[in-house]
Amino acid sequence: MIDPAVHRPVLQIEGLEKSFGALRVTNGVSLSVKPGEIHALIGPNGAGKTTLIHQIAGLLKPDAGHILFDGQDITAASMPQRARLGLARTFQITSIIPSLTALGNVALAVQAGADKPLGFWKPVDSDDVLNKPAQSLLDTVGLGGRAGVVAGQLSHGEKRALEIAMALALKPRVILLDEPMAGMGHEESARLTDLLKSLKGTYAMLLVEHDMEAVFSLADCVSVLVDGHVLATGTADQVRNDPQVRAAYLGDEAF
Amino acid sequence: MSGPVTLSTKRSSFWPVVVLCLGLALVPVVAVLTKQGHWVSLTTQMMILALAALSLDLILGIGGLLSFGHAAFIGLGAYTTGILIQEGKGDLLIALPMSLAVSGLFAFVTGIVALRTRGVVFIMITLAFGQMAFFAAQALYAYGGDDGLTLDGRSTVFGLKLLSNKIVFYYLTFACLAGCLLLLQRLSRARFGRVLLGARDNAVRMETLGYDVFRVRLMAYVLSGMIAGLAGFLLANHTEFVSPAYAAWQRSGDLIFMVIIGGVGSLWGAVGGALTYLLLEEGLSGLTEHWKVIFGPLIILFVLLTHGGIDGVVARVRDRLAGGRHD
Repeated sequence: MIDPAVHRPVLQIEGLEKSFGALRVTNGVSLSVKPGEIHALIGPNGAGKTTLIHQIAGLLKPDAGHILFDGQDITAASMPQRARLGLARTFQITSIIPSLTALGNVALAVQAGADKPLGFWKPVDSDDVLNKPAQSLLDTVGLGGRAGVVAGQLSHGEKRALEIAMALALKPRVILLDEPMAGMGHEESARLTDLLKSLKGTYAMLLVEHDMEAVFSLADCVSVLVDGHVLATGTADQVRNDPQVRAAYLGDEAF
Repeated sequence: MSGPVTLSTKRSSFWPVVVLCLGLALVPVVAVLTKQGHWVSLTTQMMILALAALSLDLILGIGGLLSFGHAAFIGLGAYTTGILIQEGKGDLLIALPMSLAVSGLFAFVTGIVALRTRGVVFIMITLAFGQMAFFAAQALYAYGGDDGLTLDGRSTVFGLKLLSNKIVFYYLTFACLAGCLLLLQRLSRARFGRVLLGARDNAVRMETLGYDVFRVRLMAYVLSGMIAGLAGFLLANHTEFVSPAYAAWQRSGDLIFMVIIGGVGSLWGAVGGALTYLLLEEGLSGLTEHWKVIFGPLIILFVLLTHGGIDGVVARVRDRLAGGRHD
């Protein structure tokens, strides 16, 4: 049974353009992410992947083109507005609140969607409305036992997992993952790959990643970005065998 | 302004606050018993400035916003009160809400502009707004201009001259200080304070979580301005005098020093820092005419040696005691 609503893209990007001075960093990019699928975005350094993520998340404003979230045009929406619609992200450079505990970080993300996100009176440390869901999210990403550790003191891999827990706390429809495996050892990235695999189907994800092993085992759909435009889009196999992609990026040794 | 200021929400400040409040509550008793009556007035003045320093610590310590024009709010509160007293409308029921409204409105309007900037630009813009208030006070020729204005008396309460009693006025000031300290401590540990602190550490992250960082900072800025305006109301009544000097940038600088001496972001530390700063000033200025030559280096040494001000020292002592017990 195919329900058309399920297959309508939850995130759609149409003809996005962005220049810094004379440099065209995003050059007419169109792509779409369907509910529950992982769409990977790969490409050599300087291809404009992070700039694209920044535009989708609202940190940068595109010069032209549209970003549609669930059919709604969010091109001009602010970052907080996009987050509240259900668009979460993680950062290429780990982005947490270092002076709070791991639990505090996730509780702060839970709080953003709570009834009174700016309460003046009730202490947060003992607020189970925030802390219970936060603890269960830490359990989900495998940080259950590290809840009381100050986030700044977590290992690199743990910080990346913490970021994902914070993104999940927003109950997002789409998660933008900007190189989640960056700087990770083989074992850590294998663990993160398993985590993302378990989340697949529940959340739609746009995954920017250099770790090809992770990309090919996770992605339903792969787009190759070169010099700011999409060179090819397709399944992992289609992209892997595309001669243009081979020439531009992957090189034969990747297979 | 993060750096060493970690965990300010975690660290318990129960005992320091109790000791501080008990000590201040007992000052008039001791002063009367030892026939040192001038200490009542002196401590009242110190508590008023401590209240202003406390309000600064909310935005500087927890919000990470270094405002260099905080004295302007004291000046606005003081002038509002002073002018109302001179116009025969100085009753507390009019003067206090008006002082809070004027300083809060000034914080709202200047905050809308200043909070769009960061770092050095923010410091410079708040300094500029502070100087605007200073020069505006100087230009109030009808109310003393440059020389300031001696008031006819203090605010009445329902028409009664309650506040002319210096013990009553002392405890009013004490209640304002203790009340604001408890309020801000509570606030800083509640959801609002967590968001303010999160924005200090990582504003972009807070926005991607869906928080409107600008709005949260503006709320804190207005609250902070209003508490400093309350200090202005008290100061005008205490000294029965208002002067442009209340809003001068040097006074803003003093407030920043008080917060740093106390330990940035600890709230109670701002109160302790203000009292230390002013006691030191008082003691040294009694010794020699050139007291500032000693005062300056002393303050610098204190900041360098304590790592985190009074709050940092107290925390380390407590950690050592707790560690000793566990061994």
